[in-house]
Amino acid sequence: MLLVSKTGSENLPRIVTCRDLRKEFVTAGKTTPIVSGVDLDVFEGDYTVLMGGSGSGKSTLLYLLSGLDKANAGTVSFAGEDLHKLSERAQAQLRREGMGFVFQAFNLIPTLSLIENVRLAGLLGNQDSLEATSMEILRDLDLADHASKRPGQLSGGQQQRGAIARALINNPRMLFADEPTGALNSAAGEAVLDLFDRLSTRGQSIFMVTHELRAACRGDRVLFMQDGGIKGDFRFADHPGKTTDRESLLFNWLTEQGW
Amino acid sequence: MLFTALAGKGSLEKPVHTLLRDLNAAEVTFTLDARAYDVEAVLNWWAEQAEVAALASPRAILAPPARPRSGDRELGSTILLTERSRDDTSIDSLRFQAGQETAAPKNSDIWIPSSLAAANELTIGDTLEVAVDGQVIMFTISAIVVDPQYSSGFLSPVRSWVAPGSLATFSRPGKLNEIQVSVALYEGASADALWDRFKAHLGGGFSGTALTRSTVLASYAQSIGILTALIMLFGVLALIVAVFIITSTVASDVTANYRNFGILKAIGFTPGNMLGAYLLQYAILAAVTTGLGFALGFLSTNALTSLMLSSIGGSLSPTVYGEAALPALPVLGLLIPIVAALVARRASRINAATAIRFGAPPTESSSTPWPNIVVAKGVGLPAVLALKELLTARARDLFDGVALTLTGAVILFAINVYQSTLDLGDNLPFWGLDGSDVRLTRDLSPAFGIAYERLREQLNDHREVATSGGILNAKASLLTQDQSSFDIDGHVIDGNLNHLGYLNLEGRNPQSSEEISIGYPLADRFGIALGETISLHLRGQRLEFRVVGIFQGTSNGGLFYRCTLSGAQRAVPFLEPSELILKLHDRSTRGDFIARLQQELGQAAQVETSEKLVESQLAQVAGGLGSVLSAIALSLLAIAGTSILNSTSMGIEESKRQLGVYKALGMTAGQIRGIKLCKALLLACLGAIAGALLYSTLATGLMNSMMHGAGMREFPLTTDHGRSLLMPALLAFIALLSAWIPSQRITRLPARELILSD
Repeated sequence: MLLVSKTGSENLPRIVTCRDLRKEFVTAGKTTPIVSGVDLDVFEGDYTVLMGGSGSGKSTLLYLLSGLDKANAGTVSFAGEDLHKLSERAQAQLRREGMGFVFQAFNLIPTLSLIENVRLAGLLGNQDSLEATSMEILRDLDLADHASKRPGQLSGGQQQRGAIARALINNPRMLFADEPTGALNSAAGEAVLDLFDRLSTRGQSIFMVTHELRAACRGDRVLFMQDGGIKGDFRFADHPGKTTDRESLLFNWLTEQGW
Repeated sequence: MLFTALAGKGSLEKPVHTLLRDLNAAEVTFTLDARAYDVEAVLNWWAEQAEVAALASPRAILAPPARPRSGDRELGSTILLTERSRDDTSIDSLRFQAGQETAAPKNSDIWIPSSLAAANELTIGDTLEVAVDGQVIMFTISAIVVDPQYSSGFLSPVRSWVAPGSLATFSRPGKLNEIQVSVALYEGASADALWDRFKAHLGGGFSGTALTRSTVLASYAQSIGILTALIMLFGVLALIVAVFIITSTVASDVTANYRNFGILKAIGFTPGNMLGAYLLQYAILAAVTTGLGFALGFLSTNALTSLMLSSIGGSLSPTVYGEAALPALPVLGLLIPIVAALVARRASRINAATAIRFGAPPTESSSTPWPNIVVAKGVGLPAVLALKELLTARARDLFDGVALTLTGAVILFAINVYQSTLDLGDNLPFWGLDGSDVRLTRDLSPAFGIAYERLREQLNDHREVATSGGILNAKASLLTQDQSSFDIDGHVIDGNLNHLGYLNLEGRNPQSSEEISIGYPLADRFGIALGETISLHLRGQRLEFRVVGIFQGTSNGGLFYRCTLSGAQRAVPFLEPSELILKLHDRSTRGDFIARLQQELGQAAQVETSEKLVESQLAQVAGGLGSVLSAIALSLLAIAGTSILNSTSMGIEESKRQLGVYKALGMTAGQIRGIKLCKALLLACLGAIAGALLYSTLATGLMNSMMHGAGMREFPLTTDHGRSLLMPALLAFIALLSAWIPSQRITRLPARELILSD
């Protein structure tokens, strides 16, 4: 089983590590393995993309790596902390300060305005000068004019950018994104991906699950998942001469992997 | 509650009717003074009336003014010693509950009615000491009987039977002047019309006491009637809350299954199928819960009527209960499925394509600029998020608030009405009585008795006594404008009525011999206004009085009067009070004062606290009222708790994804649970405030209207602030408990499952 990325990543510290990670669901007495013995290292500062077909286990792996779900076996560590050994309170603390989440369905709290959604995360992360910081982030994401609007009053793209602002308020070490463009039209999706590019350029670690090629080719590293295991690990930096057509490059590689 | 309310009165009235019929209870029972009336002529008149089926032989009676004692205990009410002849079986038969059944009591034996035995825990073989004419007569209880007219415990004095001819052995000659006559009528005859004819025959008035069957029935059913009216009122409120709960449950269920309904439509379900599913589901629920309510109603009706029914030697019959409560069964059974089907119409109107693709449309909620979430730094995030959830409240939160408000108001009502009834001793003037602290019942015998004037002077010499007065109960007849007469009760009072604490709703207390004050039911019934002159037949004399005051009071249902002693002495110059009342400078010293006074006066008078007069009735009324109000408050508390439990469960089910996001953002399960608990607590606080406002707005009016028929226009409702604090505590407890139980799920479900939920 493929474990780590190779070229270019040796100098980066590992932020997420899992070994022999397994997850299975029991439905009507029948056990179905979803994640089957995954070993993986994710590096700080990397923009890692996890691809795979429907039911390959990619979203489940994201939830396992972020501690939002519990594995049946194996270990996961985030920033050196073994998630399975942490108490519920310590895990919550780790999520507040070290992780940010962006979901396909935006998941802004409907009873709070946009800025309150951002501030809610900031409050949990004990942010100083919360009011100024939250406004600054919204301004940075071109959402300042919509700060006091409720999620229902915003477009899908604005909601997703709002969700990214909420995820970033505590300067997380890792931004987990589960199909962030899945519910957006192409223009809004591009805007979100552009934003991820900017963040990545600034050094933000990103772990994104997607099934879209155009989204995946924005990353530094692409993992291909199939039948609960990671089948391939692709890093654009390993192909320096072919940067002009990232999409074709990735497509060919994915085809080789059986996509 | 509705079954109990419907069945309560009927379940009691029917057995009482049956009892009165089975025991051939008299339709009219009256007492008359043989010195004032020609007994033979009176009996002849009654015997000649076409409606009269039977006339019992006149019975000798004696009414000792003091309450009898049994051992070291004093009984709660006075008794009417009545001779029972051996052939006295045609009218007013008795049913023996304990003791040997014989034709008449033996000498020194006494038969007491079941209510007196139950209220004073008397059994066969116990002795009763009765003070008669300066001597103490010892009776042995040889039978406890169901006496059709006196087993309710609400008529005083209570008839107790003694051996034929025995009263003459211990009563002084010339004192045994009163007789009791019982009359049975043919079915359908009107006792009231006959009684009016009798009074007209006497020339317009009758100076004795009379008891008709309607009074007897009222004595059994009046207290239950007030309680069932209360239960009905709160039962309707509970029904409204239950409809709220069903409405919100079905609405939430439709939202939760929106996509499923789209799929069902796609595979061919018709709107009728959808409605049918809800109708069937809630029809089954209605059948089960209504059946359960019907059964529980039997138990609570049994609890409500058991005391009264056991006093007439019966118990609640399932058939009688069923007949009275059955009409509500189909109504309640249909209401639940109909409400559910009405709300579920939304499911039948779902657009299948939209429902399958997008699920339920999001709820539009208004903006909540306040409070700024940043304040959570100070007060805690769960509290602020709970407040924001409440400010964008869904309908079911409103229902919870309504349920808690009603519950809060009812708890306050229960606490304070019960407490006000218990405080009756401190509020006697509001109940139409005097405001004295101490009451003395004179022994009228020459052996031990002290003349009224001398006794009053002797009492006034005590430095503790602020003012004194005398009272005499005197029945009279009010001569109405159409020259018929109407029997009323009254107090002839010697002393300054203002100083003795008598209160009026309008006008003032009588001061001169020509002045009188009357109860408002009497004024209302005959359209008597302040300043008018009325005519009373008092002790055979017609007297004119000017009405100067109108008061309230429960004695004789407010058909009552008060006049001065000098006013009544215009009819009988030698009339003097049988009781004395004292107002003390310092009420706190009255315990010692009573003990010293009793020692000083010996058998010349019985000295006791003024509230002792109403103590036994009070205990019965307060006990009944307390249990009914507690049961209502507990029921509503359970309903409010269920409503919150239901809403919290629904809220969690509907906002699973949001709760998952909270977890993803780093909130602990405890904090998320805290939101639900804070919200419940906030609802409880709002419910407590709104409940207190509702109580303060409606309670007095409600009690006034409920007691209006009993002679109380202004119920002395006092608020016990200390005990009232129990209300917010109870609401907070039930709200927290009801939110705590379903919120446990939040801690169990992993964030992933919550976030990915539909």
